[in-house]
Amino acid sequence: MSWAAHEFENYFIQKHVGVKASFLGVCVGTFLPDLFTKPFVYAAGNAAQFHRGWPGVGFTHSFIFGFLFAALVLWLTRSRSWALGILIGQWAHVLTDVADTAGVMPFFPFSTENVSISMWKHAASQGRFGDAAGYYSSLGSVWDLFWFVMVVVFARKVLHADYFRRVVVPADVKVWSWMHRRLRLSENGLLVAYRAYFLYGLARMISWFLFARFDVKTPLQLNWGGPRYLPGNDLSSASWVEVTIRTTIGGVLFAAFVCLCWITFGRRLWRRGIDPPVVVRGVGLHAAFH
Amino acid sequence: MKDVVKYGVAVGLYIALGLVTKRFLTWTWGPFYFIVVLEVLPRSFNRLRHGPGAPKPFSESFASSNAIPEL
Repeated sequence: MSWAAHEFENYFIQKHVGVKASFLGVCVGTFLPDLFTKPFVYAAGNAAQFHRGWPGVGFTHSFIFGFLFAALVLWLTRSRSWALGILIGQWAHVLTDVADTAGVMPFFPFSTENVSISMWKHAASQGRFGDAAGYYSSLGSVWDLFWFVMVVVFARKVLHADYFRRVVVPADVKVWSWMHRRLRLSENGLLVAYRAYFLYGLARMISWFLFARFDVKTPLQLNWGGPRYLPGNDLSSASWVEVTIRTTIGGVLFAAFVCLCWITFGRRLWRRGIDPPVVVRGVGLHAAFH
Repeated sequence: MKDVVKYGVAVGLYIALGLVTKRFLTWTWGPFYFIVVLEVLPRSFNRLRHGPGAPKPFSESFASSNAIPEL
């Protein structure tokens, strides 16, 4: 799992979607896989299996979960920008979590094979504090720093107040104006709410890193698959050839399923969807990215 | 620049409080800390000093952009 990368990714995605997806939708999508399950992960007997596996709640970390949730949101709210935001955010979370040893089942239920590049150990079995210490003693800390730098260097403009006014609010006028009216947040308050996940990601990254270094004093082991002092949590004993074959089959079946859904109900749902006035959608990927 | 200093203080405070109390907010509550520290508390403090009033209105540029037509 990633500790602060999921927060930073939202702003990097925002840079690429502009007004075509709701920032708040992206945030909901990014946090969706862990939203209802995370509190139970640390209490589970086999945390990695429960969090990412099947049987378990690993299906929340699959593309189909984001796809169906986004379709449900589109059906209920008719908001294209929210549905797109949720879809992109959830898929980004799935792709990010490929990096730890537990991995994810991206094409569940067509393949229940966990895909992982094993960059750092999934350490939820150590409890919340042990998990944090393990993550910030491994390449996970570099991963968080990488996304922080990506936002600051390549997507800095999305943090500007002017960008918030020109792009973020017009893409989701209803919700931001609701927050202004009902929660009585001023312009500054809305801006803080928009930047809050970035600030939280930064604070979280630094505080847990310092906690690992100076409180529990875990060794910083920036080797692939580290830290070495923790047991591995691989959910698959298959070779990379088997994983590749099963995942490819799963991917093809998933693509066919998405096409079938698009033909039977997705296209109709999309057509009856509503866009904010500022949005001009192109075709293909230009419908979601600018 | 003023924002960077304010946000830096809020982040620093979060880190210090976390390390001292050994309590770190989860991602569901963490962002609310920043809304409280950077918006709610300063506004409440201002209200105590200057009396009750409406929330600070939007800047002219924000309102004139028609971003929030209900305003």
